[in-house]
Amino acid sequence: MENVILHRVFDFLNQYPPFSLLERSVLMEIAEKVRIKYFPAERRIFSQGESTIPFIYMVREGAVQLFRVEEAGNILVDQCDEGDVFGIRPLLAEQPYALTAMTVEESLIYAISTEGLRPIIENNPKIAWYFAQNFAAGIRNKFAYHNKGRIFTSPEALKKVTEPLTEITSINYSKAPVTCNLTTSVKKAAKIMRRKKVGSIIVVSKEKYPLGILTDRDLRNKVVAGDYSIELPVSGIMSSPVFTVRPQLAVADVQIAMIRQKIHHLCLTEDGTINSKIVGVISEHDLLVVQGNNPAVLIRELSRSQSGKGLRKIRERAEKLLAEYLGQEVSIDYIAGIMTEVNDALISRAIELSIKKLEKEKKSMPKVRWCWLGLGSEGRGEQLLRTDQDNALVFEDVPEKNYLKIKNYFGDLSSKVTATLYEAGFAYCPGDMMASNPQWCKSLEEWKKQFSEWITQPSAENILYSSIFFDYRSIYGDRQLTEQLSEHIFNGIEQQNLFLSFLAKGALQNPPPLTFFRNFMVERSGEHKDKFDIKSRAMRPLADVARCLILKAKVPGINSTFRRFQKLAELEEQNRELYTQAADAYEILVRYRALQGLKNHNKGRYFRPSELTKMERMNLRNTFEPIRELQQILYIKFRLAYLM
Amino acid sequence: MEYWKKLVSYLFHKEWSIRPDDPAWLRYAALFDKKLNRKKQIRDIHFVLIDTETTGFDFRKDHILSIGAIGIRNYEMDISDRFEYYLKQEDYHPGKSIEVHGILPSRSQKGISEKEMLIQFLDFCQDRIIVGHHIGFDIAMLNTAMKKHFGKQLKNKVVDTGILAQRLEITHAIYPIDHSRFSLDALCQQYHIAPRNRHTASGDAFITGILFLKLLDRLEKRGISTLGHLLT
Repeated sequence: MENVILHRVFDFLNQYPPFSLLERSVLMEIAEKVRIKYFPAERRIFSQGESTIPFIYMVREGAVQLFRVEEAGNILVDQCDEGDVFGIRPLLAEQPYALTAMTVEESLIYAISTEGLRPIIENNPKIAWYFAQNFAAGIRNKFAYHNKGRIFTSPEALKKVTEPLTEITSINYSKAPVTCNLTTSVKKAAKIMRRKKVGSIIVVSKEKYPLGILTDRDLRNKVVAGDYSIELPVSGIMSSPVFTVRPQLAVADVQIAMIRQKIHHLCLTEDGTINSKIVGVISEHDLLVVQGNNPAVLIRELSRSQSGKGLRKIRERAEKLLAEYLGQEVSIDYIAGIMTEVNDALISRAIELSIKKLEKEKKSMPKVRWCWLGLGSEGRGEQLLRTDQDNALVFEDVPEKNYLKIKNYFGDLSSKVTATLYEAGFAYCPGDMMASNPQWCKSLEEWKKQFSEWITQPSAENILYSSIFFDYRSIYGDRQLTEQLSEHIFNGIEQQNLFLSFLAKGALQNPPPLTFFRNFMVERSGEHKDKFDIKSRAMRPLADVARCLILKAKVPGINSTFRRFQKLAELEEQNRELYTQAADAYEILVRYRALQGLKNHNKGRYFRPSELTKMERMNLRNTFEPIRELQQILYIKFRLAYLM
Repeated sequence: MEYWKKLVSYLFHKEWSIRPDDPAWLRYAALFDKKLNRKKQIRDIHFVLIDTETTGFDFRKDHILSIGAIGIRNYEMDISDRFEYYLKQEDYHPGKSIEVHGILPSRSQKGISEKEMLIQFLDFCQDRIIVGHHIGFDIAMLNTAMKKHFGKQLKNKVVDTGILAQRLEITHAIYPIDHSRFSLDALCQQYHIAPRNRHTASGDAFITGILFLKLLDRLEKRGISTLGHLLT
């Protein structure tokens, strides 16, 4: 008789331990006795306490979860997928099953007779060792999908949770803030500050609600150098309102608030609003004391750096910080927030340096409003690593006679900026989507026309541009310009309903992440042959879907993919679970890519699936799950059946 | 001349060479004495998945080159319960079909004789329900061979996975059936079955087996739970 079917089974078994450790002829005998069992989704294979049958199981296709049934409910102990062996109880002892096995999805399971296996184990130390190691307690690695932060880090990489998540209550800030009233004179306030040796004083109401803040700087700028009399009340020169937060916030929160608001002091009040009692003041300095290499320090140093190389060095320190954060399970939202601020500061500094260089070449900045835009992942605020730069520039509409001169200036500026960014470690965009390309350095009117063209003529190429340019964000310069542009775009989309459908269609064109066998779809050829492209196969589909849905929902101003999904989850009750899952999945992918990039000193985009641990493979695979369902939602929402 | 030879040998086969009393046939035929239990639950039914590769698509002229079969019961395929043979066909001249199955004449030469295969097949198949994709053709091919060697035809009940797949689609009540959607390749794609070893008889029988398992579960969920339901 021929053995095509037998070889199929043999080939599969031979891919996975412990069977891959066996000799060919021995394995062939085992393959002869395999039974292939079919189970629909959520079907019990065996139950805890049930007596065993003389077979062990291996997942051929699908997934199986093992539970321990306890009074409080089922506890998930393990998930097995393709190639995993489970239910080996009958091989070890004549005792009933210790766990319950249930399929997650439609599955094909190999049942392998124990009859021939026992003597093999006895005669083959390698196999015996394998079983002993992997099934000693009947449990393998613990399943940890619920803990997103931890799944890609080994326990030793997990240092104790430190600074960024420490609540500010636990650090040393001024718990008895120095205060005065609205009517206190400037002179008296200054004396109090000197006596208490503080750089700021909080102006409070009778109920001790914070009304304003007076700092050393105000005294210098507005009193000494200005003409405000020291006999007048503080109310005339204090900064008001003050920024207030709850004392229960984490250090990272406070830091972000300070960076965003560009302030150096925050008031802590009982409930975090200005209408409650003040309980403390925290200064930037207080935070600096807690942390060494912290983002605020880096950002300040960036703003003082004098060259692209200098920027590069500081950015490298930021990368260390990133590694620490990733190791500490800080949420990706925080990490992305901080890294975005770092990147923005770096880009801003690169622009300032370039302006100075041009001045030296006797080219001065024309007196027009303009703005530097970040696109793609930088635009979405998701650029943790130094990946390619994608940027553009918009300047206000100018009379025709000045146009060329102004365009040339910004062309020169952009070339210098992109070159500086390159020095700082951000590769040039291979598609030349950079402000240094005259095509992407335009006046507001030209940009409006450009976007209108993309919206009204949704060719494949235009849809691709849309997917990159629609995630723009102003980074340096006049934000009003971009607001005008955004308004124009939203109006345009509203008038041209079909555009979103085409954008949605474009979002469905991404290659799928998994093959038939639920293996990772790897590149077939080229430089990255046999590697998995996490960006285009896993992240881009999610980012594309999020963009379409958020545009459809007409929610401007949210650029980051996970925030978009979180917002969508709020907006659409019926799909809340899926969107939340998608936001989580995206976070995991961003985290995973950053870790891969840090480990391999590259952009983290390509890696070999074989280098992943089984757990990593499984977790990544889980993140792919929402993709198909999301694409189906797009399909239905945008009635793509008519377009396909 | 060739034609007359063939005709004569055909007639003679019919008159004298057939041995309906072949012990393999008698064993097989006896299994069908009892009445078919149409109320039998799907889990208890013994199925056998079959696929053949042939020299062409004319069951009157063409021959079987290989056959693959595997037993299924209770949503389970047992690897030891399988049947895989190449056949030795004396006048095999590779035509168009070789592009599909890739069986070379030299390979065919090493096979067993058609009659030997049938004898073993009857013992293997027994009175199980035969299942296959577009199985009508395979049955016709087998019956041609059966008539030649035993003067008899197979007695088994037959189920076609292509038709089962169509039964799962509600839409064909409204729209005409698009037959290309029910090819083995299309169904493999629809039901996520990796199409490996396609176009070997055993490989296709195996794949069809997996397809059959997936279809069965879906049919059961629609209340098709007995042999009677399956055969209607």
